[in-house]
Amino acid sequence: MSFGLDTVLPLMLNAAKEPLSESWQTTAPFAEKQFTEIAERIQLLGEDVALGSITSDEALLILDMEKQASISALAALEGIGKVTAETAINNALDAVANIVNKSVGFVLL
Amino acid sequence: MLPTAPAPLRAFRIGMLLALMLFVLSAFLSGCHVQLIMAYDPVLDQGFTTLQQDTEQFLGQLEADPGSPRTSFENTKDFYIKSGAALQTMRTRAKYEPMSTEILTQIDALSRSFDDLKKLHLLSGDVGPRIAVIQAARGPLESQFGSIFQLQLALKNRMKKPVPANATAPALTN
Repeated sequence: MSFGLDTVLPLMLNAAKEPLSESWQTTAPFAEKQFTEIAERIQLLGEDVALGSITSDEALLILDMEKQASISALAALEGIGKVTAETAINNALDAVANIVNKSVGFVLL
Repeated sequence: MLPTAPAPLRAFRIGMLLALMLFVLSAFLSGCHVQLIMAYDPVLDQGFTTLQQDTEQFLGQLEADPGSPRTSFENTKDFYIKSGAALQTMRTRAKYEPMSTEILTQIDALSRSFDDLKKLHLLSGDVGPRIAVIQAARGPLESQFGSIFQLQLALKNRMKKPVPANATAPALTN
């Protein structure tokens, strides 16, 4: 028994595409929302300092909190990216497991 | 320079090498899947939820009585002690999980934000922070919890996606 690249490759690509597309649909709005809100709050902070309702010392600390919020959002995106890559790889392997296993004669995948 | 091995010996060596590679590959792939990030830990997830509830309650108390001696740092410092201990406990737990870099980054960022909040509180002296300060600090904290739960949700929902119906394997050729 044998199999060709033209047999397994479309199956692998097709199986990997779905989680990538699903992840983009989830992460793109999340990233946009998070970073828009952070930018808006920083703008508001500038206005509060100008109005005198927040001192410059307080503003520096709040700005650092916004920086930490950005770091956390980026870490979330990185983590979700890893989960997505993992799912895509595993789906691609699963999609061709039967073909490969039958071909080699034992459970390889 | 080593003399070239006879053809049968070369073939034997290549065969052994291929068998070894096949063994390593099958040992790596058989029955297991690729993992790039830590497994979902319900204890950590619950820890984050509890910490957010405590934080919201604390900010609510400060907002209910802004600039008052009742909400001074001295009178509310228990929150900082408890939240610091909770974060340290979660950090220790995550540290010993393999591939937990992103979670540790989020815990460290949240710890730093709590330090900033504490410093803001101390800047207010003998009274609690003003309403403008509390509201400005609330945004980034809620944003951080949002990012943390977004990742926790991705870890929780991580499971093998069903292979699409149109990905059925075609018949093998002999």
